[in-house]
Amino acid sequence: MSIFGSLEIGARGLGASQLALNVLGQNVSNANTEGYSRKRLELSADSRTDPSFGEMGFGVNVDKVARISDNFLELQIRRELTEQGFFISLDKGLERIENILTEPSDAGLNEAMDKFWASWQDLANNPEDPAAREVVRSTALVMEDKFHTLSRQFDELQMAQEADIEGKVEMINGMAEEIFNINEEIASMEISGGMANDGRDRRDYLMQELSKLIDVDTFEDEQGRLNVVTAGNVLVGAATVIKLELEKSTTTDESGELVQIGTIKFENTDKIYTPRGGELKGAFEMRDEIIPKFENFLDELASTFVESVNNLHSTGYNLEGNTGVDFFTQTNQTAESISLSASIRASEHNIAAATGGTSVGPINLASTIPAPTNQVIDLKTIDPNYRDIVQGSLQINMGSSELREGPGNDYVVDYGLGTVTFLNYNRYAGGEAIDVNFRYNSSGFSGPGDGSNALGIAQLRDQFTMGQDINGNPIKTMGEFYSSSIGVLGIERNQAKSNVETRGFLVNQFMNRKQEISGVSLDEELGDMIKFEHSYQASARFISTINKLLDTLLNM
Amino acid sequence: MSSRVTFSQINGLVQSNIQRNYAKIANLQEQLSSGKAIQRPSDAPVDLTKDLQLRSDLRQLEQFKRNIEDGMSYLTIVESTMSSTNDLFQRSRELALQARNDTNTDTERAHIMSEVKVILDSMVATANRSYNGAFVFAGTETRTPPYELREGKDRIDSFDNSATDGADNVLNLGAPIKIWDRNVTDSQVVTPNPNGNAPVNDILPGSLKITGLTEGEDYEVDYVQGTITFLPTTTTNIPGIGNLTDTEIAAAIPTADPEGRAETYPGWPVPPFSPQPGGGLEVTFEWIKRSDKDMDGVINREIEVGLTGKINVTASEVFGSPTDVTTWDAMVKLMEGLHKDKGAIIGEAISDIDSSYERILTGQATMGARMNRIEMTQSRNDESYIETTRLHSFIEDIDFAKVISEFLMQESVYNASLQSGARVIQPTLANFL
Repeated sequence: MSIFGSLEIGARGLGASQLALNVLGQNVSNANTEGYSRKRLELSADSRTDPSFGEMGFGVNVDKVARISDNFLELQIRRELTEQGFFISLDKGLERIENILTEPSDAGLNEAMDKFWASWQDLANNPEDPAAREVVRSTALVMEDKFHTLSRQFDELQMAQEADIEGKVEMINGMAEEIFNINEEIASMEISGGMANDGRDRRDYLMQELSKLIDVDTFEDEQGRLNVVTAGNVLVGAATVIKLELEKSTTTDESGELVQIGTIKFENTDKIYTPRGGELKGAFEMRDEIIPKFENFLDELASTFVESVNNLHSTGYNLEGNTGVDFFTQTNQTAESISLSASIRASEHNIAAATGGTSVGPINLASTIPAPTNQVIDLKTIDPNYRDIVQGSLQINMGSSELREGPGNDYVVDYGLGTVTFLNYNRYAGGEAIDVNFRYNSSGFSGPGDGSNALGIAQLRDQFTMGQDINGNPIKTMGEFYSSSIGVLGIERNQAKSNVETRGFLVNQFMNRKQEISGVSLDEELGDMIKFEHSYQASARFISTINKLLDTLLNM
Repeated sequence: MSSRVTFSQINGLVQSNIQRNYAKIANLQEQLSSGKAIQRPSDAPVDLTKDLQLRSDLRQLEQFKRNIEDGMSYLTIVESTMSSTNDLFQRSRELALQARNDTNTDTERAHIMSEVKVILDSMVATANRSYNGAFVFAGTETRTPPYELREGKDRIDSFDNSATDGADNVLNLGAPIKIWDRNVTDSQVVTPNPNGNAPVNDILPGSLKITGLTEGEDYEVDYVQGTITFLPTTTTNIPGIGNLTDTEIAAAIPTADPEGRAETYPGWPVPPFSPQPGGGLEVTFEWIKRSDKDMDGVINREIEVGLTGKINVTASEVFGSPTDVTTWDAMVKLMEGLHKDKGAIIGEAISDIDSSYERILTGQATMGARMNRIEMTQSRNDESYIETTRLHSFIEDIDFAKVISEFLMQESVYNASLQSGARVIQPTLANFL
């Protein structure tokens, strides 16, 4: 080994330390850069073959600048981000729906419905009073308004989802293109044996962002290009990038309105893209499943209102003595279209509070009530017309005392069929005459003081008009239907929220692990800085020592 | 924790912990400032469903309370009306007893008659009592008063001595002729005559006048049934005509025989004949007309879920239906007895008054029972309201003491996380190199 060889060793040592400090400086400067993974200088001892000693050291070799990262961890992170992204989308959307419906509060639909029913009760108490009629009309208008507003807000939310989808598609396309470009960079750099560390960092970061939006599968080919596949279709390929296209088509929805629906297709093909995860999938689910579900709830509720109120109202009589008037416009049965009929808007006199009714009685029933096994008396056996009894008009007297109606009292009535079922058999066995008075519905106006139709409408509040059991019979009232829909909303949002939290927890764990492996620890770098400073000083001292040797040699 | 910890890990952890604590405090603050435990459906979905239903139930109970109170005031009014009618009856009965005694002179009876007339007017006024603009005894036909004291007019404009059935407007001797009121041409009349007029009953005694004729001499009136009977006598030499003198008839029925026959009694043509327009005997009177509308309608109030209470009493139940001996029949009979100065009629009137009185008592008893029932429902309603409010509050409202102590605890946790976080993120090795 010549002296110049020793100098070479020293110089190499200096170079290595300096390089190490450069790498360290790079790490420290980029400690807060998103997606940066720390770099390490990989050194190896160099040696030459000496004929006498065999391998003889020849200084330090800089092998490469290594990038400390874990590919498997990346895959795990991406997967969790995709899952979480889906639920984040749902959570945000459901939160907005909660804000639209504003329950529980005094401004919600529940309150508007309660006030509507109450106004019919007040009308039943004062059918001739124009003020009571006006109140019925105005509570109905408030309810109509509320339905319209809710419908409109849902439409707006739907449009916002469309815009969101559009925005996400653009982002995905942008990221896909960038990934493709980085692939090119990495391929050309690494083909000559280099390491495209920063390129890889950037690519990993982009992949993380992309996986939040859609589900991704990747594989890296021998040239270092990362192929990205989503929902089984290639997004970024070895030779090209296949972007997503948003195709808008106009269709009519159930209410007959023109809406623009966006479908995503792969560029220049007809293949439709349905993401299997990520925020984009969440946005689709909101748009196609969840928002329509709640819109349908509202529509069903509106339709039941219109049908059931009109059913009773059109057979009732208004102050003019006319019948056959609808309260709501019969053909407008969605939340968007529900409206008071023209006649009601024109005058509150047209509200049909009265039923028709012919008085009958007193009719003397058999002086003994039938035996306990058959305590039902069918009024139709007396006259086939005796059915559709006016609610509350039936009065039964036994001798001089009046019997009481209701379960737990003396009798119950089926007003529609015209049957009276006597409870409490022992009470009637005494043989006293039983007289019954009632009114049944035939044609004819029963007077401005009759509020029984209004009462019937008010009682719709407690009748089963919605929901279905296995036999197709309704099992819920309108109020129950609405509150259970709100319950569904609450439960779904809770699920989404807790999923976001759980996935978030997992994401954090993996991110932490990544930090553990690839993150820059300032303290570590500071410590290493001292180390390399010392080794630089040592190498420099070595060189000056060799220099002295050279001096000594040259001055011999 | 782990083998290698970087600064950004620590930073990230500190931040997320502080975030979490902050979010908890914010939630507690929201609860405290609104007083409500449930701000949105996702806070407690199942509780919210119950909450919405309870709110609704409370509204309904409030409504029932309003209905009950309205029903109660209605019943009270009806009850007091019937009470007043009772008092008036009592007074009438006293007067009747006093007047029945035949030792009364006719002037004394006349005095009593004027007081009875005043009582009758009051009775008509009470029968037409209204509440909130609706007549209370008129069932659902609340715009028409149940009874009216009206001026009536009829005309007898033909004569047929052969007819024995007392048909309308035919002067027939010895048989009661039904009076109709030509002032009424309502299409609502229940049993009209061919002209659409209403049949008359309950005429006020002393008010019936026939131009040119005298009551008691020429004709008799049955005031309750509403008939006139022209009295036949045999003092004239026209067989079967009666004690109307020819000049009286001539004066009362100015007609001409269309065939121009000469008559034995000028002005009194051979029967039967058709009247000339404008001719005929005019009858004027005052009578009590019952409304022709269907007054048996039921007025209900819904006082509990599915339970309605009838709150009205119909005119038929209080004053009698057209087929009964009505209150007015009784009063008119009394006045008839006073007018005709006949103690026997007054005697009959007393028993009629008694049965009408019974009827009102029965009506009052029924009303009393109804009021009791509604009152019981009212106390049930009050209890339900309190219980439902309690349940509702339990679900929806926060327990202030509990939330405040949670808040204070969370606040100290938050402070601790802030302080400890601050201490951890500050020092680095650079401080010491």
